[in-house]
Order: sequence, then C-alpha cells, then structure tokens
Amino acid sequence: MRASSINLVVNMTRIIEVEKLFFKYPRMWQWVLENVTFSVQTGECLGILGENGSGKTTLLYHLNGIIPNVIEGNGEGIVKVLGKVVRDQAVFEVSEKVGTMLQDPEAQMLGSTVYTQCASHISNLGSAREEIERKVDQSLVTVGLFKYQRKNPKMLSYGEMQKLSLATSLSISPQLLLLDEPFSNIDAKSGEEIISLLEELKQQKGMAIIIATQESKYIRKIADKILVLKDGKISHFGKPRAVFKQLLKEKSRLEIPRISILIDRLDLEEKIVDSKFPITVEEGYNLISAKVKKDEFRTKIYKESENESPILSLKNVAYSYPDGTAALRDISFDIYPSELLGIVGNNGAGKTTLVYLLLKLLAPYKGSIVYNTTELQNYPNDRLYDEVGLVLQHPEHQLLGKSVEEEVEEVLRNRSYSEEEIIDRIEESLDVVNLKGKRTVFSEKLSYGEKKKLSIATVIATSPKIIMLDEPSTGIDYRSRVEIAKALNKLKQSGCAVVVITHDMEYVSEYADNIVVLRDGAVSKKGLPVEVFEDTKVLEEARLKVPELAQLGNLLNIHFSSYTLQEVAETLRGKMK
Amino acid sequence: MIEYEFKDTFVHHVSTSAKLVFLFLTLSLAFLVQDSLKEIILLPVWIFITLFFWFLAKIDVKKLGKLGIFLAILFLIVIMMEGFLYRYGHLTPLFKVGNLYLLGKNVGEFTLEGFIRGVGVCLRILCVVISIPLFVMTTSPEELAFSLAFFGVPKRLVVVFLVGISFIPTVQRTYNEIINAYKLKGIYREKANVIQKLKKVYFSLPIPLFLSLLAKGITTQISLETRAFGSPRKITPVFPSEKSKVKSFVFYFLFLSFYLLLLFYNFFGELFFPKSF
Repeated sequence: MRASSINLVVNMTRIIEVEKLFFKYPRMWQWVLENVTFSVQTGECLGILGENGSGKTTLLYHLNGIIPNVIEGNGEGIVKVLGKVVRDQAVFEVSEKVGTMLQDPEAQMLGSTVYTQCASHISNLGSAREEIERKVDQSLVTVGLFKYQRKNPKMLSYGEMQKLSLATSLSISPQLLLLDEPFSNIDAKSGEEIISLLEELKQQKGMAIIIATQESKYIRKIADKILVLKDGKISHFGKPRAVFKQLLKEKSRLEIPRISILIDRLDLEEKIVDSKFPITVEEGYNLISAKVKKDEFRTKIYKESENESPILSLKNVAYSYPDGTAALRDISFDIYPSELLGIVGNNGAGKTTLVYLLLKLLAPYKGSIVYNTTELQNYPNDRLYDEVGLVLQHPEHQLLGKSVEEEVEEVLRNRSYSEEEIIDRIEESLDVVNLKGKRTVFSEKLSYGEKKKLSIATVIATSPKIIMLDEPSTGIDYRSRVEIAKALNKLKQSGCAVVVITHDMEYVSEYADNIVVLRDGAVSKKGLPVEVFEDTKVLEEARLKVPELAQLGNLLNIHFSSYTLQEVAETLRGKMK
Repeated sequence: MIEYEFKDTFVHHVSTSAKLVFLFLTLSLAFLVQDSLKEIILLPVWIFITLFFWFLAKIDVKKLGKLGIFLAILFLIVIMMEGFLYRYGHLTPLFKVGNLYLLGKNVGEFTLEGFIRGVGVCLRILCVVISIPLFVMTTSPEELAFSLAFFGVPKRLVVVFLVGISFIPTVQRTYNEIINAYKLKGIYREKANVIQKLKKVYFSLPIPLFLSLLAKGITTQISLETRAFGSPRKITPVFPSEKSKVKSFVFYFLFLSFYLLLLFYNFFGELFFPKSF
C-alpha cells in the first residue's frame, strides 16, 4: 500500500515519460528515432541538442501528439505526457496543457493583429473573455510586445514573431512548454530575456520545458539535463557539464561553450572534475584568474587600417518604409576588398534593409552609395548582380528545386561561361562548401544547413567581388557554421569582400575583421572587434551581448588582439604564472 | 494592398453583419438601377455615402494608388467604347473621327447617349469597387470568419478561408524574395526579352514558390493543431476592435435610409421628375 502511494507521488511529478521510442516516416527504411528513453519532471528543463536532421523536431512532435495524429509514420514505444498516453488523445486534448512554439514563426502568424494572434490558442479553449484579456496582456508584456498589440504580426521582424509565438503558448499557462529552435532568429538580449523568463516559469510555476536547439549558449544556463540526439539515437544524456565535457572530448560537431574549449586548450595541469567543468564565462574566470598574470594597464593593440580604396562606400544613407517610418538614418561606412565586415544589430535594427540598399533592391531617399567608384544608382543592374552575391536568410528561396550540381550550373549558364569553366567552377564551389558528395541530391532533400551551404556555393561559383550573407549562422549546426566560415575565409583571401549580417556575436567575434553596430536604424559604433567589444555600453544599448572570450578578457583585464580561440589561448598561455 | 488594418474608427466598431448587408445592398443597387439618367443621379449619391464612410474609416487612399490607375484606364476604355458603339434610340453626335458603318451605326461618331451610358457603367463599377476596400480594410479576417461560422459555414472551411487570407502577404513576400534571388543569380536579366524572361523566370518561379509555400502550409497546419484548433469547445471570439451596437445601428440607419430613398426614386421617380430617355 505504502509503496503504491509513493509510486503515485513519483508519477504525479513526472510530466513526460518516453520509453523505447522508435519511429520512421512512411517510405523510409531508416529509423528517425531509435530506442529513445527519457523522462522529465515538473519544473525541469530538458535541452535537446543535435545536428540538423538528427530527429529533434520529430521527438517534439511525439510529445504534442502531432505524430501520429497529423503526421503519420511507423513506430513503437510509449510516450506519456502528464500521465496519459499521447497516442490515445487528440492533439487538441494534449494542447490544452502543452504549449508548442515551432521553428518557423512566420507560418504561425494567422491573426490580423498581434493581440488576436496571441489570443488564438486560449480562445480555442473557450476561456472566458476576461481571462483571455488578462492572460494575453500578461503574455505580451512578458515578451515585450505589448506596445505592438495592434500591429499586423506579419509586419514584425522574425525575432519578434518568435517572441509572439512564445507569448501565444504562454497565454494558456501550460504545464509543459515545447520550444523548437526558439533562439534561432532573436538577438542576444532577447535570448537572455527569454531564458530568464523560462527560468522563472520553471521555478515559480513548476512548468516543464523542453528546448530543441543547436545553440548551446542559451540552454547551458537553463537546462537541468541535456539529451543529445545523433542519427535519431540518444548519444548523451545527463547534466550539462558532464555532457559538454564528453562532447568536447569526442570533438563533437555540436556547439560547445567557447569558454569550455578555451579552458581545454589551455592544458591546465590540474585535472578538472565533472562538477567543476566550466561552461560559463564566470566559471572559466574563477578557474584561471589566479593562474594568469593580469595587465596593470590594458595594452591596446589595434591594427592599423590599410590604406586601400573601398569597393563600396556609404555616405549619409537614409531609407524610410512606404508608410513613412524611418528604417535607416545617416548610415556611413566603407567596405574594402578582402575584408570580412560584420554588421550586427538587434531584431528590427534595419540590417536586412541595409543589405537591400547595398544591392539596389531598394533605393535610399537620402545619401549616396558608391560601388567601384560609380554611384550605385547609375551602375547597370545586370552587371552589379554579376559582381555582387547575396545569400538570403532563407536558403530555400534561393534554390530552384534542382539537383545540387544543377543549381550551381544554372547560375553559371546564365552568365555565359564556357563548358570547361562551368565544370571547373561547379567542382571548385562544391568543394569549398563540402557538398561534393551530394551533387546528385535534389536541393529540397537537403538539410537546412546544407541548403545554406548550397546557396553559398551558387554565389561563390561566379567569383563575386562582394558576397553578402544574411544571418549565415541561423538554424545550422556548429560544424556547418565552421565549414561556411572556412569557405568565406577562402573567398576573402582571393580578394572578395564579405559582408555578414547577423545578431550572432560569437560568429563575428571569431571571423570579422571589422564590425558595424546598428541600433534603431543608425550606426552606433564601427571598428575592429576589440574596439567594439570593449564598448559594452554601446552593445548593451543595441541589445547585443559581449562575446564570451571578450567578456573573459574584460574580467581578466587582458586585451586580446583578436577573439579567435587560438589567439586568446596563446595570449593566456603567455601570461600563465 | 487591400488588407485589414487596425484603426480605432467608427467603421471599425461597426458589426461585420452590418457591413455585409451594406456590401449586399451596394451590389443590389448597382444591378437594380437600369435607367441611364437615374444611374448618373443615384449612383453618385451612393458613391458619396460610401466615400463618407471611407473618410470615417480613415482609409489610406495612397495604398489604393494602383487600383485607382487601373480604374482610370478601365473607365476610359468603357467610355470610349460606349461613346462610339452605343446605337439605341435617338443619338446626338458630339464629335466624329471618321465614317465606318457597323450594323447600321456610324462607329466613327462619338455620341452623347453613348457617353452617358459609358459613365453609367463606370459608376456601377465604381460603386461596387469602392465598397470592397471599405469592407476588407475595416473587417478583420477573424471577424469575417466568425460571421461565416455564424451563418453555418463549416469550421474547416472557415479556417481554410482564414489561412488563405493570411497567406496572401506571405505569398507576396516569398515571391519578392525569389525574384530578388533570381536577379542576384543572373536568372532575371533586365536586358532579356519577354520570351527569355517568361522561359527563364516566370515558368521556373512556381517551383521554389510552391516548395516554400508547401513547407509553410505544413507548419501552419501543425501550428493550428497545436493551438487546439480541433477542440470541440465553443471558441471565444477575439477581435481586434470591440463591436458597438450603437455605432452599428447608426451605420444601419444611415445607409438603409439612403438606400430606401434611392430605391424609391428609382421606381417612382417619374412621378416627381421628368422622364429620362
């Protein structure tokens, strides 16, 4: 009797129970999920890490009943949510207690205003009007979108749409929250805010949270446990420190906190036990601060700017949307050949609008843009697009639905290269992005990261003078990010100017030569990464975060000449007592 | 683009059913008034009333610029055609560009009766066309969907309608992105001729557009399901603007009064005014 009542208490607190779950989609011979077993308790956060195509989203679909109710397939095993077998319930029954935030926020925006969109879930549950009003207001305030409640949700930035999607789920006060890549489109500050909010929900309301992501920098702070999926199987499951330590040891393709990698590279004499393995900057600092000789005065080692003429030059450029809202104000900066320029800014800062101006897809209402010593407005479009390439945020918009090889070929044929040249360029560009092995695969069958790499290949095949990439690191796994960065470095060395538009500060800290910070449509800072990252106030105002290694430098009072892992590790090794 | 825009105006607070009735009466008026002279008297009054509601609804005329240009071209064509081709009853020539007889009528002659007829047709078109932005730009898809459900349209169909409406800007945005990508890939060449553009751009464009929208459509379906769309519980309607019974009544009163007056004139006008031709 006593034993059964203890069991009951245990079951009451268990929100998710997954046991020996196997699943494959129709007409597939390989399991997408294989022998997956885990459980999640009330007030617990589980981070699911995995590369593109590892089965993260499929696992989430099992928890909210989308599989097998909406998406069919073959499988076995037990999935219980809140004590009930998911398979035995309709999706609407599960969704009364489970909130889901999907990866693509745009496709979820069906409401005519932010307010009605946020109310779309709770109103389906038939809640009273007063309750709906209270909860919707509360959710919008929580994610910082209350001021936009009358705005058309389709007019929001991607990051804001993602926050709205979260608010919609929060409005039902769920017991379980499922988040699929919730940080992929949002700026660092918003990411931090969401993490604090989730932490609060977890601790105060006992909400269980599952986050499927590739971005370990956020989940390491909130996850109680991390589950790593590899080809549908659980490769690691445990506390974040232990999992990251193991991933580092195995040289995993997944993103590992840079501070952890740095400490590992420092080859400290003492052995670090699992419980002390650092995964945050503060922990890394505590571990090495006593061992490193600090500078009395921070010696600033800024690179001299090269006396070269810019390939693209902006002077006092301004742009307004058709409704008169100012999108960009007084923008001035130069882009040089062989330079990787990072343009960073929060959601809605005007980054993408700026790129569209640089490509003549929009026209500034004030100021001038000079490309190759000619006013951009007077430069022939066809010639401009032969010389400047853009990799869009959504790679699928850039692909034609042909095979990998044909996608690149099509671009080259439109530019009248000889047969021989076409063959060589296909070979070369696919080699750079590491897609040679998939040349006959149709583009829609590729993973998101591979699609992004293919769209880069289609651009670099034409040897552009400038290549612009809109959020190149969004939605792709760490290894793909590194491969893309390597490809861009090769391009840079050949004289091509690379412009990366992103909110991923870690990315620019490692790869950018110069950085332009945009805030509310204006340039708030420009300079070398070291100059920009020391100005924490500017970054704070722009809702950006100082990258980890720069934070460490600030804490240690050590000035690094760049923020590549190699550079920082070498500098620190030289300062070891 | 004609799409719903949240504004805190009198018309936005009017009930959807009142606006639907207004739309129906506009259509009926455009069909009921058959006499050419009456068209020119009655329809402008109705157009004026509609424009008055436009003013109250703070409709941004700038957004309808393309529609205006299209209508202007269409009206010019209609008036020219009617002016030259109209051939019933007594005809008063206004000017002549030549002599060409077709079924006993000199189609080189522009007549007053044809001109009036053309203006009448244009007024009918204008009457119907300007009532559409008044309805669409002040009625949210949620309100319309709720009204459809109220009139017994099945829930699934209502949702299909809602999704369809919400997809219009998505299609537009995706289309623009793909065209931009085509320009940058050298597929869309400004100097290319129409045949080349058709072949290279417009025939191949549906593939990425379709693939992209298909993926979005699947996500939308999943999103709907995870938001308890299938729940048998009675949905609590949530609209961007609260509906006001008083405002709806005033709206009803205003347009119904005018409608009845105009209808009365249409059928019994001859008792008080001279007969038209």
